[in-house]
Amino acid sequence: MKILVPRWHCYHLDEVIHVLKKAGHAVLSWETSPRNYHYDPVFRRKFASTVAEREIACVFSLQYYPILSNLCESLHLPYISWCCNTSADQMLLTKSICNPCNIIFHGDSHWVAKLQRIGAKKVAYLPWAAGTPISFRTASSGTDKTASLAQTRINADSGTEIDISLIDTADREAWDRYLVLMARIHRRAKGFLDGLMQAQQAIYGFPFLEYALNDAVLDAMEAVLPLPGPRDSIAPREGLYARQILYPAITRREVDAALELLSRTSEGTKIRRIGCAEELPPAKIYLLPAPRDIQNGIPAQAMEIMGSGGFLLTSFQSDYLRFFEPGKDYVYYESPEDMADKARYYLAHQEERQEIARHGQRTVMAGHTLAMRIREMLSILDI
Amino acid sequence: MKLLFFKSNIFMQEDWLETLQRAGYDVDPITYVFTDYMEDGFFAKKFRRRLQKISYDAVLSFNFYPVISDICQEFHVTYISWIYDSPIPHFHRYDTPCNHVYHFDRIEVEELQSQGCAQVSHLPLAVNTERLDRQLGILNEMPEYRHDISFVGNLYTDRSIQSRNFVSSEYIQGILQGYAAAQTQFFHQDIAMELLENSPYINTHAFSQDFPVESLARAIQEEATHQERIHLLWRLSQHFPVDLYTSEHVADAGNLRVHPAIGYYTEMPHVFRHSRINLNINYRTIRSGMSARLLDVMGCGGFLLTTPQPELFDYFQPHRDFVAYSSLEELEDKCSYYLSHEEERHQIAKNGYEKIKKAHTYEMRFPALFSALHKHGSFTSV
Repeated sequence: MKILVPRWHCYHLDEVIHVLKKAGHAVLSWETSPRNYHYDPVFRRKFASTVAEREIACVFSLQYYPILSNLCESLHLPYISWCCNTSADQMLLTKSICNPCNIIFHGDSHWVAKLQRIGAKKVAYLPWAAGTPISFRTASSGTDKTASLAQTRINADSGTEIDISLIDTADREAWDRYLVLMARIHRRAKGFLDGLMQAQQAIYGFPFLEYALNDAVLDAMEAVLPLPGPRDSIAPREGLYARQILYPAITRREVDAALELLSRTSEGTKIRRIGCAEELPPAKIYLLPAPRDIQNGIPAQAMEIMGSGGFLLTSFQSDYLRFFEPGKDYVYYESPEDMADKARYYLAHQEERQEIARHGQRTVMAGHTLAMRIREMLSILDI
Repeated sequence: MKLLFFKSNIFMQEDWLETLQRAGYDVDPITYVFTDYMEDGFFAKKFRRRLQKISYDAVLSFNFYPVISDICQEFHVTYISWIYDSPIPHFHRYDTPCNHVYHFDRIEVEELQSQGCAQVSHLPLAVNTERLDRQLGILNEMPEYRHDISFVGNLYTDRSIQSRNFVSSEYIQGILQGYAAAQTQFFHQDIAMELLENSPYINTHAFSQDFPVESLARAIQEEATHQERIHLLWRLSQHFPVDLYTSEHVADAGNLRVHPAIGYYTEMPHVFRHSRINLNINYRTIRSGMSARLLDVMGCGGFLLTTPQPELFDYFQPHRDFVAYSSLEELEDKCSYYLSHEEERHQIAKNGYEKIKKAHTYEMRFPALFSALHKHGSFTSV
């Protein structure tokens, strides 16, 4: 089958394309981007002519793009997308989601239920997987890196300078929006948001904040910081404010608080804060506060860490429990104090820590590599 | 064997009195509305005169009145009180020996008992099904419906944080409202106290003895009830016609049709029977108990769609006798489903109705209510 894959913002795309080709499909990797992901008549014409000339049978993208869905719908092409808890998930909440051409895979079980509820016809759960770590990639993507990945580990207990690598999953732009909102909004609404965010920050694995936003506080937020969405959006405004401002603000507070707590209670521990797009440095513990707008899903970084042989200490997310055993493959925490206690414990218990890291990597290699996931997807699609 | 039945301004009292009389008990009523439950010289005089004049085996009342308890103790008359309010005041007065206090909320009872209050026992409320069957007819076939979705109840705007004004700072009011909003997302779990104790914004130690932190937590629960009712009803009405019967002055909004409050004995049974779906949104300070509303809806043969309440699951089966929801999304989905699955809905309503008639009438409660009297040999059942 000839599959068109747009090259839009996804750094594991080469690996995905490689696996598709290995499975016997012809892939047209397409560089052309639209001006926006909802509507672009010039892009529409280019796309239609490319599909016709190159005899494309279906379109596949990492992340979901309404413009592709609408185009595929008009051309009677299946449109397969694989989404994994990024800010681009907002584009799922557009009218195009009900197009019959859509086949959506999502890495968060909560999103799967949500999409089915709003009328998406074909939705399946498919969590993200471990790709080949950037540091171990070569220029050529022709070789299968799975075998070599199993032998490599970034767990560096000999000679490392970092005890804890704290992965900063906070969104900086969202934090700026939050500061503007809180500076402008009236005092009662500010108090409401502070109180509600305090409650949400204390609870892991149950993002409830957006469902607790009432019309009065939404009106207050809209009055000082409107969030205009695309014209085809069906996202309720509580979801917009929660995902684009409030949940990311809680993540930022949580990351800051984790750093402060660890620095205060673990004297002498070397802690380094890294951005989530940065390469993973060698560290004894990878501390990953899950972004608060992820409902149930396993963050992509978690798979990368475990797949690379790192020891993962992360906040509770229910989807982990489908595939991984806490205490054997990874460790989770349920409060800041719990996090600090476990960080101290596992720094002091090297063998136990290393065994968990090894076990986690084995589990990922045995069932959660990108190659396996793509093959699983193709099997579901029966192509 | 004589009983003195205290009547005040409690809506269920006529049912209890009627069922006692129907069962053949010799019951005298005495009516009064207290302005001060703790001390009322005028009532005390009247009540003492009655007890001096006639020898009663027991005094009965809904809710608990310390004045009655004190005088019953003076006269060595058993005082049986059946509490349907939560939270309950005056519990420190329950341990008087003449008292036999029955409370509808099991968690409250367990807490009181753990604090050494031996006079309190758990007893769910009840329904006068005979009266309802007289009014509405026995439920067999699907009734004619006047409403798709109804809610009969208070919006508690007067109990909201903003209305009560016990905190002057708008910012702190907002914090408490935020805590209440968080509480609306949790059932079977009271998070208000924990939020207050861990609050970086509110210094609970600064509150006075007149307004302890427990009162603040309770105010948060009441605010949560207010927010929840407004939010669920207004949002639900964006997709479905909803009829709201309430004493508050609220304007119609879109599909939300607002009606004045209705009488407990007059119009309410008809609304419950003739609505396809009867919504219940629990009062948040009731921790486990089944409110009168829950039982009344089922006793009228109405289909009950309710926020979850623990004791409901002890005595009834979900999806067989009633249906529960825990979020707006779930409420919308279930309204959609049950409005279009009439037979299934009617069967659930019938099941709930049959179960009430079998196990939750006033007559069923009498053995428990009068058990202390039987035990002490001072009362013979009729």
